[in-house]
Amino acid sequence: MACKSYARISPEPIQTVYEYENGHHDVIVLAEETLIKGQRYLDGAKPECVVVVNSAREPEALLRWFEPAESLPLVKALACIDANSFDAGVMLTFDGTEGASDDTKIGAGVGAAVAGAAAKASGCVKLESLLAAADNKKAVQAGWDQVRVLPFCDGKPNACETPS
Amino acid sequence: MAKSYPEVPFAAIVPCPTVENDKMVTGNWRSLRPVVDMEACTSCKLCWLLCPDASVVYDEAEGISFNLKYCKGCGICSSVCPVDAIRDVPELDFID
Repeated sequence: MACKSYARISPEPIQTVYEYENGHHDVIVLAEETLIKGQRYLDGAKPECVVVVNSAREPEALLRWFEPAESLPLVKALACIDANSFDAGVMLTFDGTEGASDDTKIGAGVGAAVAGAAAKASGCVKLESLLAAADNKKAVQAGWDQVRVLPFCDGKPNACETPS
Repeated sequence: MAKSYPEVPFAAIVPCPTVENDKMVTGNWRSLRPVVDMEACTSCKLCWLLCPDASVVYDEAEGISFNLKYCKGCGICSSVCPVDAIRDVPELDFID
């Protein structure tokens, strides 16, 4: 029953700026590490999805709570980044009334390091593109550099065979 | 312990609970778990009195313990304890 919010990334300008929900997502961000235990974050995830957790722990330490087991084959990677340590604090979102405009900046607050980490773990945007749009570039860069990514294959961590 | 959104009853209306209301389990809301130091505890029962969810259990023989099925981790018990016998520990530090 945790609070969910959604975001989109596109190479073209996004025409519809109203509030947005998406049942089939590629990247799941857990803004607080305890959410990994006992919440249904993998519901509706697409195959090759990436889970990014705002945590100082290593991804291996979170594996015991990473569930449900039958959804693990959808996961491409589990990544951890300690976004709280960048002193950025939590930002209020400034949605216009009726969702007509959105003043929430990209790459600001706690989201800055998480954005860098999510970009590195999922490969969905290049670092240069993200830095160009981001508010707190230092935190985004640090998120990219410091994220710890644990790749999954077939639902098992670190099970990907490297080509010999 | 976790109930997904469609399983929670509409408007949280449930039959009147007697001992516990297991249609609305809130233990998974918690990020910090209270832990009591039994050596320091004086059994003053302030934590038991002030817990907003009645999740502190007091037993004459066993002293203070916490009902982790419902405790939401609000931290009121650790704030009011006059001898600082209760610590809040991150939930992920525990194995269960």
